[in-house]
Amino acid sequence: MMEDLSLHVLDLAENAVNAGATRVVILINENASRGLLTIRVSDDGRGMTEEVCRRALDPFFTTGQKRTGLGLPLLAQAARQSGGDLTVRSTPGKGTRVAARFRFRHIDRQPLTSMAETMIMLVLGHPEIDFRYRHRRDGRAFRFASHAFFARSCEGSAAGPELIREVRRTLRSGLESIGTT
Amino acid sequence: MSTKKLTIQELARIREKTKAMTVLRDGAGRAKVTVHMGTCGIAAGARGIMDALLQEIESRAVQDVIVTTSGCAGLCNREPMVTVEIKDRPPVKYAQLTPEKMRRILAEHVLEGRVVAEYALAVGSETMY
Repeated sequence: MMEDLSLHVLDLAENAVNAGATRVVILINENASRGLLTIRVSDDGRGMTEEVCRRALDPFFTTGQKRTGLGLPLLAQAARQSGGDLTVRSTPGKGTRVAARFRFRHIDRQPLTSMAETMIMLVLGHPEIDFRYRHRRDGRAFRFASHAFFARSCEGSAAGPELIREVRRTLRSGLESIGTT
Repeated sequence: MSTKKLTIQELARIREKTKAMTVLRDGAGRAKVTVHMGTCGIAAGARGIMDALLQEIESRAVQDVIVTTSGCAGLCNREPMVTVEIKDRPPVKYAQLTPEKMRRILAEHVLEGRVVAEYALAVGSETMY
């Protein structure tokens, strides 16, 4: 069981990486005034056939040999238990888009907790992937694009601790500026 | 065979992408640590393990260790797991980790080359996929 939604986002993005994506777009929208939280993860990976896509929410269904087949079903359950829903759209050879909606103030909605931690792991764990992240919270927005960030931050400097520190600082301060973590 | 001329913009995009791909990996000769981030690993705490690893790399100012993630290693009940690979040596899988165990593995195995046998699950060259 995943206890917070930022872990589900990490799981979705890792799925995208395993599907051969070169670009992963992560959109989070916390809209308290409309009572809605939405999460959308899109990738340009290999995509799924109609049959695989139709079965993607079946528990334990997987196309891999060593996977649980529980990631999407658990997220779908988390969305449904908070009065929301989850949709998966995919085109073979073009990519996949997973969108989940949650009633913002529902008592059973899992907390988002730490999107900064999730993005730090993704960006530093897969520098070859261009992560485009946009987080809106009640009208304020934070954007981060990993390849553009690397191009700016790494010019002439060594990778390693300095880069880790800079990624952390940028993501944490950016999310703090819109009132989240 | 047909050829297509690249535009300046396309070359710039390729440069940016290649740079991003290599920036964490260039000169990373000492070791590679793979944190298994399948659904099972994430649910068991893999994000915290990777966070501890990155914090330790940062605080010790380690410059030459590759950190990456992969999917499920096939032993969900032993997650969180990492695989440590050091040049010319067989990879070692560590299981049921905690942040504290991860810090010790970095200090003793990754930086000093001594396998932490009490946390190790297996030593071998099997592939993850």
